[in-house]
Amino acid sequence: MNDSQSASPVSAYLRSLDNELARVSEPVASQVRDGVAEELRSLSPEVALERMKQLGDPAHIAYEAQRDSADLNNSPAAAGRSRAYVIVTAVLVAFGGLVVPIVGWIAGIILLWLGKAWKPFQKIVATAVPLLVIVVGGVWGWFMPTTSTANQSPSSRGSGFDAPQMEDFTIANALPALTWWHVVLIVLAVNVVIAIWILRTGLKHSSPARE
Amino acid sequence: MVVGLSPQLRRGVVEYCILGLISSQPMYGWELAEHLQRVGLISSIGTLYPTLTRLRERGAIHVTESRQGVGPVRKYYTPTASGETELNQFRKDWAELTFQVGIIMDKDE
Repeated sequence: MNDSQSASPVSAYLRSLDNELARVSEPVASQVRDGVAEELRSLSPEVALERMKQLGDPAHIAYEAQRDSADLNNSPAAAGRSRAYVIVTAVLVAFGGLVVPIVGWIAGIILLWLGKAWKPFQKIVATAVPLLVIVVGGVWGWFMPTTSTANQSPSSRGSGFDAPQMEDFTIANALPALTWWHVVLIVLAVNVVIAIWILRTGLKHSSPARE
Repeated sequence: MVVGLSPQLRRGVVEYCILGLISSQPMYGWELAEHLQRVGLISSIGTLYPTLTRLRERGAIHVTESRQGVGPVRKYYTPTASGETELNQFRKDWAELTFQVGIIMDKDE
């Protein structure tokens, strides 16, 4: 935006366009939205208002985009955004790793990246978040000694009363114990949440079922 | 917009018009829409992007983000080598087609 004065009309126009484009399949919906936003944001407020008039009613833009992309829904590329494709991808992302450890999840992620029903940032988030959880879990586990000095029996330190040692006051001892099983369970839960998210976003932009 | 033309014919022609426009210089979305609307080939930008998607899916165009002059960063469309080949073929076919159709139409008059 060149000027905050035009932020409201342009934002309102783009919001309205977003709502109307909800019925248009990807990638056309994103391309229309990005193209219009790119144009409006490059203009001064006065020119942006004029351009919005030229662009016309967002409902008409969406109607034309939907009508002219009908044949795209029957093209081979549309297979990557069909309802069945979206559902299979979500199921594999959620439970693929349970059926065939690691490989099942990777298969789901491959389908996600090959699919046309999701935006690039959705693919990145769905791939990166479980990996990030594994890395954080791994680092956490690394700093959590399996047998810390705090867990040692007094006899192992010497007889009688043992005052807490300096090494007992470490970050590791302040954190709850986290085993690899915990990490696996957390990753599974994260994958289910991600699967629900990609199912919802994917179905929103999926192609109608082919006749 | 050319209203009498069948949607398939118009769509096909618009694809080659886009290739023709971007073959001389890279163009961004609104620039293309403006050219096509001015001559009545499309009625809104909503028609442009499905056409660009078809061209991209068959590898006839590619998109690059760049800034031209002092303007903002935009997505510019340029034809690929196969897009150029398609365009050259269409130019030959179109000249032949209009000639042949002209013979038939002139007879009817």
